[in-house]
Formats: sequence, C-alpha cells, structure tokens
Amino acid sequence: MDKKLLQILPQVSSPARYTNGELNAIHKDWDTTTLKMCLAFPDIYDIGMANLGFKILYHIINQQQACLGERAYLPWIDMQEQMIKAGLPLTALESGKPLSEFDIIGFTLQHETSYTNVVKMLDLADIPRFSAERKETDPLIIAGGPCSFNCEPIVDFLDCVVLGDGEEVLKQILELAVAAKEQNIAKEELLRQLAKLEGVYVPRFYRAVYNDNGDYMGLEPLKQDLPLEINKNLVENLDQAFYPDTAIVPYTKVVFERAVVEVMRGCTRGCRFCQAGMIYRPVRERSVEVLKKQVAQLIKNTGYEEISLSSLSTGDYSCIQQLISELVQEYEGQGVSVALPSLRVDSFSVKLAEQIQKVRKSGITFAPEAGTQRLRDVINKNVTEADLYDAVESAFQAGWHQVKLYFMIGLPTEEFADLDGIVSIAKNALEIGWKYHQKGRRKPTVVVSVSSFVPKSHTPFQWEAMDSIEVLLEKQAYLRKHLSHPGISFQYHNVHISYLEAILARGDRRLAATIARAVDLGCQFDSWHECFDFKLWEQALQDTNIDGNYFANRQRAKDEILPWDHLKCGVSKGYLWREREKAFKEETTPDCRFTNCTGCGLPKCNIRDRG
Amino acid sequence: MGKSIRVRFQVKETCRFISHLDKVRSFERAIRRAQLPIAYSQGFNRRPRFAFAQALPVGVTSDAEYADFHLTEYLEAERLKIALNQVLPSGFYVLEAVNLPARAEALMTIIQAAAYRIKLLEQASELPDKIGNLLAQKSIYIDKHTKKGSKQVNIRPWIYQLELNEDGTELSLVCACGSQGNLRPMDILEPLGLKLEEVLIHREALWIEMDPVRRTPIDIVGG
Repeated sequence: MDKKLLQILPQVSSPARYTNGELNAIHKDWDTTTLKMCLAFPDIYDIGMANLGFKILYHIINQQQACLGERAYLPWIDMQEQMIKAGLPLTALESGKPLSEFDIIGFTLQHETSYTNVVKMLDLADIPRFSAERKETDPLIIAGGPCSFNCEPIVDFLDCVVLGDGEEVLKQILELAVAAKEQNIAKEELLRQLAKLEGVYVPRFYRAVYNDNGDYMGLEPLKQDLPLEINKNLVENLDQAFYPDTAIVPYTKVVFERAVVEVMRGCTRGCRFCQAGMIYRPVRERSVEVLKKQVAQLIKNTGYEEISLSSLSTGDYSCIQQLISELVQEYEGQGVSVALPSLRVDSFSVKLAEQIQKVRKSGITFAPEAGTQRLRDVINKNVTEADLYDAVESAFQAGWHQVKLYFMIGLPTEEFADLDGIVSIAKNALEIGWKYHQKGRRKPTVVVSVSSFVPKSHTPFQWEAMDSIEVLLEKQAYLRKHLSHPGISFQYHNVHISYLEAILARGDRRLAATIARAVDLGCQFDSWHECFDFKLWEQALQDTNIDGNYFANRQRAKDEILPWDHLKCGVSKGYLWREREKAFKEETTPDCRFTNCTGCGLPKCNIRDRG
Repeated sequence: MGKSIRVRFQVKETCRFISHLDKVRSFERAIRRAQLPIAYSQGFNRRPRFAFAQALPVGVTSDAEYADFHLTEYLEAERLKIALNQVLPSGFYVLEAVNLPARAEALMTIIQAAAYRIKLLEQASELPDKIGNLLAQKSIYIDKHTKKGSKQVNIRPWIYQLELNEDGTELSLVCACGSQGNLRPMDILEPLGLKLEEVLIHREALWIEMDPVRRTPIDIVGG
C-alpha cells in the first residue's frame, strides 16, 4: 500500500472503506489486460456496495478476457480532505490505480441528487469535467442507471449514456472499445460506433435548441446517420440473463449485507407517480429453479446469513409462496434467513413476512402513499382502506409492535382533506395496535413517514407542477401538528432536497453549468441531510441564471417538447397522457398482468401479444 | 479430547481497520462457506459458536489472534485450519490449530499479557530519553472513554517492558492485556510524543502466563 495512504487511513472515519482485499473481489493483471474499466459509484462505499446493477456489471466486465473491471466510490469528506492534502488522486479499490489511467469509467445514476458527486469524483480523479474538454488520452466516461432516461442536465459531463438493461449492451460496448484500443481508433470514431448500438446515446453528437423565450425545442443531430430516438435495451429472458454466482463480501458493515437474487424485473401495477414502474417494463420473472440454484451458489461463495429476494414488488412474484417455503426449509438449519425488501399492502404479504421473520425484531412497513381513497385512485395506487387495515391488523396480531406507513404529500389534486386522511389512518392503525398489545410491556407504535412528491419524467405526472416549497412546508407543519399524539411518530423529508431533485429530474442541458457551479461552491452528498446546503444551491442557480421554479413548479402543456422525449423507455407518450387524464377523473387502471393489456405501447410485451 | 478447536491466526494489513465485531462476522461467514460442523447457539437468533480472545484494537495488525471453535463432532484441528484458510478473505490467515481437551478454560478469561512491535514511519527525536522518563514515572494517567463517560486511569502498572531497537526504527512493548488490566498500545504514543499516523502497530504475542515462563493460549494445551 502507498505510504501516504497508509498514514492517512488512521486519521479518517471508517478507513476499511478504502483498504480493498475483500473476499471475492477480482484482481486481474493490469499490464497484460487490454481494456480497463472502472465502475464508479457516486456515493460512499457503504451505500454503493448494495447496488445490484454494479454487482452484475462487475462480473460481466471481468468475464471478458480482454477486460478488467474494478470499483471506485466517492470517499467521505474527511478522506477527500486528506487525499487533497497528500496530493493523492481518486483510485480504484482493486489495483489502487488512479481513475485517470482507466480506459472507461462507468457511473451509475441512481438519483438526481447524486449528480454533484459524479462531478466531484471526476475532480478528485483529475479528469476534466466536461466531455468537450477531455482529450484523446482521458478515459471514456459512460453512465447508466434509472436517471439515464432523464439525463440531459448531466450529459455535458458524459461521453455516452446507456439506457435500460445493461447486461448485453455492456459486452458490445467493451468489444468495440477493445477493438478501438487494439487498432488505435480515435475516440471520436469509437463514439460514432457506440452511437449505432441500441440504447446508447452520445449526447455530444446533438445540440439542444431553445426558442427566444428560452423554452427547449428539441435536439438537433450534428452528424449524419444518428438516431433521433434512443430506445432502451431490454433483456427479454431473465433466466437466460447473466447473473453472478458470487458476490464481493465487504469486511465492514455496509447497507444491505446479504446475498441478493433478483426474482423479477419490472412492475405493471401502474402507480402514476412511479418512474421505475414505467421504465423497467415489461415484467420478467426468473423461475424458482433458477433462483434456488443462484441462492445455493451465492450462500456457498459468500457465507451470508441472509437472502434477499429483490425486485420492485416481490409480493407480486407469481411463485412467491413456493419460493419462500422452499428457501426457508432449506436454509433455516444453517442460520440463514430470508428477507423481503418491500411488502404489498395486504394481509397476504404480512403472512409471507411472518413466515420468514421468526423474530419480530424491527417494525413492518407499508406504503399506502395517500391518505384518502380519492387520492389513491388519482395516483392509481390500487389499495383500499380495507386492504390497509387488514394488513395493519395482521401485523399487530402476528406480534409486530411497530407499523411504519409511507405517504407522499404534494400529489396532484391533493387537498387538506387528504392530509386529514393520513392522520386518521395513523390513529386508526394505532387503535388496532392497542387491541393486540394492551397487556404487554411494549406499547404499539405507528410511524408515519412522509416524503414530498417529485414529478418524474416518463410518468403520467411528468407534465405536473411540483408544489412550491412554501406549500410543502405548510403541509408538513399541518401534519406535524395533527400527528402529535402518543404512540405516533412523524418523520418527514427535507423539502429543499426534494425541490433540487425536482429541478434536476426534469431539467435540460442548461443545468450542467449549475451543477458545475454548485460543486465549485462546495456542494456534494446532496442526498445527505447533514451535507445538503440549500443556500449554496440557490447561489449556484443564481450565478448561472437558472430559475429553479421553471423546472420544478411549472405546469407543462400537452404539446410541449420535453427534454427527455428522445429517450425511450417503450411506454408511449400518448399512454402517459391518457393515464394523466384518467388521474384527474379519479379513474383507476388495473394491473395488466391480472386483466387485459392497458395499451402502454411497449414494443416487446408478452401480455399484449397474449391478446 | 473435546470437540473444540483453538486456532491462532493473523490479521494482515488489508484487515487492520476492521472492528472486532466485523472480524467476528468475517469468521461467521467463513465458517458457513467452509461448511464446518459448527455448533449453533439456541434460540431465535442462531449464531455459530466460536469465541475470540482479547479484541485487537482497530488499526493494529497481528500474528497472535486466538479463537475457539465449538463443533458438533470431533474434527482434526489441522483439517479445520486448512478448511478455514481456503475460504477466509485474504486479510486473515490461520497459522496453527489444536484440539482442545474437554472443559478447557474459556479463552477470554485466561489472557494476561500482550507483546507489540511499533514501527516508526518517521524519524522520532529523543525517543530513548522519553522512554526513560516514561518508565521512571510511578503513575501515568490517561483519559479512558467508556460508556459511562470518561475517567482517568493509571496505565503505568500495565507497562511491563518498553524498548527501542538499536537503529531506532522500532519499539517493542510488553503490557497487560485482558480482563485484569488492559493497555491499548496506542495509549503510550502520546506520552512519547508520537502520533498514530506515524507508526504501524503489530501484535506479536498473547500470553496466558508470564512467570516463570511465558506461555501462549496454545502452549497450555500441550502442557
């Protein structure tokens, strides 16, 4: 280990984040491998190690004979300061090589409030921030993840963006990059080749056009033969898709330390606020046989004590009962437990949770999202009052003492009556709790967690205005007052962070200057309450002449050209508008898996083909 | 012979910043990967039954970590050693393993002393004098932070030996370790005018008996 690093480590918090050598990490030979790619996670190690996409892509890169894949995370602030003081650049964990020596850096864009972290990582790595500034010898900066569907605010920093499932297209990208390196092909030419791949977007080949009012009018291609629309990549059969049979086991405690299998991808419940529910369609399941094989391999290779069944809505997996029973039976004796990441709001889900969680150690969480049936119909959260109270009742009855309920405020059409609905649900839930926990030592508690609705691209609410900061604060205060009740605790999110998220979620290329300025002013880790500084962001917006409200709080017209119109997730804009109209009429749309095709427009879909 | 096995293992550089609890979990997972016939605790939260000796301070490497593994059947100690080394992360290595007699005393309770080697990364001035001064004192009070707050403790009685090697690049320290009295090796740095980032600390030995002969937790099994 570098002597400077050796001396820094005792002076920083959690130094084991930076030491490498974890079990199952892959160390390929630097000198004899043609192409080096570093996966870069724009947050600390503890958070990044939980990311499922990273786990998959890491192994795909290293499976390619000519390629080597390593990892880098954003060091915490104390470590950054020490590195700068010692003159150390950001390095990859495995080889300790500076990021600037890699051929490709691959960022994942998980949420908009990590954008400053992306820029910060480039800064720490001594790589020029902007794609236009980078030279032939600088690494190729690519990005993927859910935010690639509305990536315009950050594209000036990126050389190419990958839409949708990465498993197959990454191999193609690597193949082209290896050939380019072996044949000394210029970066510009490589980007041209990459732009021809399905689902790969090379932003610098397009220019954004604005009218005299400063409204975005679309993209203009700067070269010939460029696609005007980028269609996402889709892995059609998950059973045949690559899934690693091993995983890196961190030495220290990180978020979600467990063996993860992905039971399915996509969700068609059709909640109108949910971007993931639109961009990951269609629903694709893995078979129980394949999952059991993957679990066996993972437990054998990692020794983890917990198996997590991951997806957007695991309760909807068609063989969930069978899968859980068989896994519990097989692993109970070895001290290995099963975990469900999310529960549907019904008693069936509680039964599942009961089956796997023998100790009712923590609370149980449900997400009714809105306080009245009216508003739940608006957002198409197909949960009834009866479902909710059934779920709460089953949970308290099964022995849980704490029920946590997730809601959003600021949803389209929301009135104070809907907030009253949240209050009465909380009180009724607590009442139910008292029925089952009157005599015990521990009293029942209900936690109400409230976040602010942020309109997202590719959803039926993509045209809507977000509530202003003032209104959201007023709504929070209203809830705080009315939820001040013994046995109920109230948690809420930072409204200003949500406002920033809203700006970046539906912004255009002009925001790149704002992001860069924010980093210069000291912004990073914007999703961390203790680091977020709204004043600095206000300053950055002002310095770059951007009106945040224009992006966050403005109602868009039906025919407005949106900065993500060219980035296609398969669900049609017409369908999204129809869903928006239904929302305002308080009409629901059922899940197409259990009824008929709802006409979302997906080009490859087995439900529509079923007829 | 009983069904328990005592091992001595190394903590190498890549593992030195891992907390005691994280080391325990690394071994739990290694046991599961090696599919050893480990005994499990009873109750809802079933944990594999093994115990470490005195916790190694974070930041310190070691050649003298000890752990007892309680198995459900007799297993030759050497086989456990090989099996663990096949699955442990690269920062750990099992150096030796012995089968314990039935009803051996628990590791935690028998440790008395430890030896450390403190490598100096930077030139330190007037160290011999500072060592002389330190050893000449009858009491050296330092702040000890506990769950109940901080209190002053006298660490002088716990320092048995402190020497600088000939070329002045390394200190060797023998001190109390265990439930009867426990000196963290970093606690002597400040009195010597040294900083944590200027040294590398390595645990060389743990002893269960100092007089008349020094005996390790593994020596006691043979004798």
